[in-house]
Amino acid sequence: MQFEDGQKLGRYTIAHPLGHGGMSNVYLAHDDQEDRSVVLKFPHEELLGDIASYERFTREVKIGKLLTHDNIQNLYELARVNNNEFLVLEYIDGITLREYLRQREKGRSPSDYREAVDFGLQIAKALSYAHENHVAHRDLKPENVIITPENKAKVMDFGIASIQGARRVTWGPMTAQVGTPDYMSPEQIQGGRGDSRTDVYALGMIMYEFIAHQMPYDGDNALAVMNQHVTMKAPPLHFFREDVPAPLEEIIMKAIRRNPQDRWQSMKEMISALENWDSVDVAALRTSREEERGESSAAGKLAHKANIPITTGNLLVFIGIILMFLLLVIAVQLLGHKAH
Amino acid sequence: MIDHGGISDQGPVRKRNEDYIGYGPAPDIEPGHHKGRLFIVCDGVGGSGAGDVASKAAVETVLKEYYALKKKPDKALLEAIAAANLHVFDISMKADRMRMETTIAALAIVGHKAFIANIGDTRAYRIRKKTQIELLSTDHSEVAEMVKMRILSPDNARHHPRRHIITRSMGSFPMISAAMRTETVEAEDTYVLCTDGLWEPVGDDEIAQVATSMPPEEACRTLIDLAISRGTNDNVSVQVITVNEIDKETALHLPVDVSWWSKVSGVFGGVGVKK
Repeated sequence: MQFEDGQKLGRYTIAHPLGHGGMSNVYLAHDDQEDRSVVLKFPHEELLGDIASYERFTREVKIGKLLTHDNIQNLYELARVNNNEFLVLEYIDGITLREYLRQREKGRSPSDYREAVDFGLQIAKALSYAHENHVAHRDLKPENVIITPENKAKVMDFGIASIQGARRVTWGPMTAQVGTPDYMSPEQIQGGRGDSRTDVYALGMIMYEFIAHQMPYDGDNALAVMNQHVTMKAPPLHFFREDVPAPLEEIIMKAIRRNPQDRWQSMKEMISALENWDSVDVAALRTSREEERGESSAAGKLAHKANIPITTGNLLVFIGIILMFLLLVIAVQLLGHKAH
Repeated sequence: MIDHGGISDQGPVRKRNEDYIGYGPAPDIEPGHHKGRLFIVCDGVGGSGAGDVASKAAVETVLKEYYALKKKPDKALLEAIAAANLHVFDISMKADRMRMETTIAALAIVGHKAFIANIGDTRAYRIRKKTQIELLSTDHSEVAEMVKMRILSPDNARHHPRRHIITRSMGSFPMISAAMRTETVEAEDTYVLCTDGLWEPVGDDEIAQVATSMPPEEACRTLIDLAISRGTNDNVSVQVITVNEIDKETALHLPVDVSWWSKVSGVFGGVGVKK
């Protein structure tokens, strides 16, 4: 489905395409009725073909329409014109947080953790508001956050995360569509749907990346990264940035703990910690971290124990030992017979 | 002796069918080639909708090469797949911005031997004694690897958000290694080759039940209808192969298999085999 510049779709006039992703085609358009710029998003039809996921999609669009917040991209409506179903969204002038981080790297300006707290708080407030309305984002990442020229953070793609991942992609060198699992929580990696604490994890990861200039987990491929999310402990932030204040570090490290029960239990909790980060009791946070360390290392040992691979080599050695034992028994018996 | 049916269905949603199925030998292949029967199911993946080109090219090349190569069936099958991979890679490189890849599941039945090869997440099942269904192919997908790494349970893999990411495909690299397996065929065995369009919405036990309770062609139709009724949004392709009787003529030409036990007992001069 392609549209020409200037083409009219009901009250919307297409201005130009903004991008074609693996999930949808996106256009900038003008809403003639309200006289404002809008973004039109056309999901790929195969994503909506599945009845169950289509129902979930329309339901979540309904919820998304209820969310009006200063830090959330507004979803105006799910429009249908000439059999084309598309989302009409608020147009935001700005760049994605991913692009913002990239430009920062180029400029070589020292990262300011205060900026991380500022953006982190804005995103947290958007999510906290959504959670109060019983919506979890579940796919929060720097690509889904827009930073405006006034340094305002706006979270995008609320509620439509559920239809992602339906399109088949390969690891081949020619497909660049495979998204990173960098912000996926351990519970999502293990097949769970995730809840508000999943968003706490993703926000923690974003703030970690913002300050450390890199992700805590790094691997050659998505599998290695996902394995680390599930089995490893993130290196403390001061490992990468010595100047990060200890209380702030503890707040972020608590957000990215493996077990959801050990994280901030709500965005509200995380917000109040972030707002008063210089007066947070580091010792209290550290002790709870020690507890987790004891628990996780035990789990690590168990996992290690269960992980003896059954390879042909192992099997052959095992069979060899049994055979030798059998031969020994036979030999002893034969000798016994001779002795009689 | 072998009954088979195969259907490739576009499904209700997709605009084109990127799956392709095929079987051999073609009528013009002379009898007495000792390569038995070959069945193939491919599921194409294309950047700009060229997946159907890749799957068709793969099926045709494997069929042609398999029967042309003067080698034993297992070697011939692997070499045919390697040749097809290179062919798909080649057209993918030549076609401007038409990147294309495909999965494959191939089953060769030669006498009392079955050779199963696959790349990607297109599957081959065997149903023995009408109920025992076994997956003979190896999924090359992220979730399959995660199950192997024990960070994901097999039950959760079916609905995982990253379940559609495959880690190996034909046409992505000039060299490829396929998973290969050799099995002994028994009379009354039923084999099912299918794309994820079928095995994702339809459970293994249901596949076994349908495939063994009706003639192959009818079973294919029933399975596809079942997948569509569950709301699949993919193309659905399936081949059902039922072995009524072992082809003794071809079996005679296969090299005699040396079992592990005769190897072991041979080393020890037959100790312990007979009392």
